[in-house]
Amino acid sequence: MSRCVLGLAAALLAVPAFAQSDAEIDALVAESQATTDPIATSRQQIATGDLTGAAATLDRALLRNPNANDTRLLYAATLCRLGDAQGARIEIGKLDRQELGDAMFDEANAACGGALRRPAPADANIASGTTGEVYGGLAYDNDAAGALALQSDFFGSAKRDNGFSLIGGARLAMRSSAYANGGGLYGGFSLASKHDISGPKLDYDIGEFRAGFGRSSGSTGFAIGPVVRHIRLLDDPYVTEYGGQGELLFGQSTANRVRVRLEGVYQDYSNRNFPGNDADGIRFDLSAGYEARVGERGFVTIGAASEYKDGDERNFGYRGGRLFAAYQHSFVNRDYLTVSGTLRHIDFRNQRFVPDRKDTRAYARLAYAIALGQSGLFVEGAATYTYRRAKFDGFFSLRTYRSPGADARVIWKF
Amino acid sequence: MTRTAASLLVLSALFSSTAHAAGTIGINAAIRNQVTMRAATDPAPRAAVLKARVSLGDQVQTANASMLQILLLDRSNFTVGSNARVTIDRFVYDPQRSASAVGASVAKGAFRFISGKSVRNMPGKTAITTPVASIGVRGTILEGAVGPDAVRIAGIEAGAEGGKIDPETATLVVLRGPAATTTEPGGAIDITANGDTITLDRPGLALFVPGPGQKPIGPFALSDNGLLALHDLLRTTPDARGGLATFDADGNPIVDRTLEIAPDVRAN
Repeated sequence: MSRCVLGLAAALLAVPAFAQSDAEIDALVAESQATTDPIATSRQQIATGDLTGAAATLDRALLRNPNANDTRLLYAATLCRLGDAQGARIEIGKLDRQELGDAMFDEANAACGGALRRPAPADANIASGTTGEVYGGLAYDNDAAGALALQSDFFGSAKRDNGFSLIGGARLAMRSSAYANGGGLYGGFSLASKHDISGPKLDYDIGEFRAGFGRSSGSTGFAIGPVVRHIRLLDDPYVTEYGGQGELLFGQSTANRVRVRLEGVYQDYSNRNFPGNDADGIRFDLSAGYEARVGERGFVTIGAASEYKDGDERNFGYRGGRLFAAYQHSFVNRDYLTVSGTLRHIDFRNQRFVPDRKDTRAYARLAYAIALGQSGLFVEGAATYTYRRAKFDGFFSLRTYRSPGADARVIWKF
Repeated sequence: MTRTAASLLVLSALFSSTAHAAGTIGINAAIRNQVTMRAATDPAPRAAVLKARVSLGDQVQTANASMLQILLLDRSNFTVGSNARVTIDRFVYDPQRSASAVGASVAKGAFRFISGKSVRNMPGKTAITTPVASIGVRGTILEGAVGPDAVRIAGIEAGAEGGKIDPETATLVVLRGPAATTTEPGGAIDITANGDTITLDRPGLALFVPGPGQKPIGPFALSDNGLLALHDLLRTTPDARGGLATFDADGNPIVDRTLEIAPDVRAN
């Protein structure tokens, strides 16, 4: 009897399964295509109490379009309604503050019982709005004097200053809301300062202001406008630069694009010790860089630039070029690691009775920042290395400058 | 005889109401980067295609930073995360009774399962198995990882310490919802490993099974860092908005932005 039963069961198992109707599959496909308007679809699901269905719809939409910020906001709100406030906070944290619509954020925040916080922006190159950072800290420089001064190996008397300095700076960037929608104004300034507290007389202050008109759709765009830059060395005015900047962005996405920049400025040097020591002139800098995301949390840029300086005194003019590269990895706890470097070659223009000079310069920086929660505060530690080797056809050789250094700073990004 | 006959009746009832015991069980609803599928009847791998039908026994394999979301006929969603290998090997769906059951095997990688409402009407029948654990689903949202990803995430968690870890089969599971206080019934999962069954019934609770023959560790509340690590495997992140713009790729601020001054000036 048992055999009969098992045989019957086997026969039942062998019966081909029903073929599902094409209409049923079509309905499934149509449902999956609701990602074309996932917000409307998921709101309908929420209205009928189908929160898990709404979460699945929004989840699917974000897989297809990770940059749909309104969808991500509604997703966060839905997660909160499902009791997953922790997941909602993470989703909100992925968004740039400037791209969060107030109404959508308020809805998400209300769903989460007011527990959400607008995240600190990850960078200053925003679609619209205002962002910036302020930092301050301590730096150590080895052989700081060589950064400012050309020194000869004559008698081996070059002076080396090792010691500590205070560093500080700020950066503010603003873009009008129209910038990302047909074109609008941008503006910003940056300050960087360093003053010694022991040893190195490497005091400097650099200020820059720029403004103009531009347009950005994320992956493509342009910007053009004036720039003014002033540098003080050792508490005295050193050089003022004024001119213009232009930028072109083009690529398939914000995570895979090319950035071309051109800057042309007139350099007006303040310090003229003796006739012929006039470095005033026009400087051009043309650079092209490729920017790409590496995995989910890495960003890389690599590029090259061409430089040209036409000095009023011929020997202060030069032609040059440089390679640059940088990589940043953001960790899950918002810490980040940055490594960057430049390699630069400068060929100063030849002039009768003035020895020819060619420089090779390199700079590298390795930094790790620890995020202090979601506050936008970071503690960053960095190691730096600066190198300058001058090939000088004079009666004496110029000392090769090698300066390892380090700095620690507190950064507030807002 | 009585037991055998009863089994037959269950089988008969099951298959008479099962319109989709084999064949198509859903579609590829979203694909990110590199995903391949192998049919049970044809082991040759083929690239996953959006909206293509998924059949019972299809094995899904994803590459790094790749994901696939399968929308099943009962409206359950199964997301296969990065570096994963998953097979949906059981699917029963009775639209008339709005009852369904899903069975899936996760050999490696991260996964998320959002059950359709009909799963609740066939209680105790939906399960996700890993090499070291069986996860009974009672209608819920759950996420997990098997293998190196599970070990890495467990390494972040203070509550997941202990046991002999097998990097190939270790399993981490976390309940994501819904909470019992929402408009839907509360979700729960029952995880069985090495003879022990532990229930997770609150969003955020996690369990770690270090390896074969090991007792499950937990439940513990998954930390933000642990959940972030899981998110990276299962969810997307918006593209960078010029994230490199703040990089100091311009060189030394003095050496590369000014001409050098004469030593005598510096000495002053």
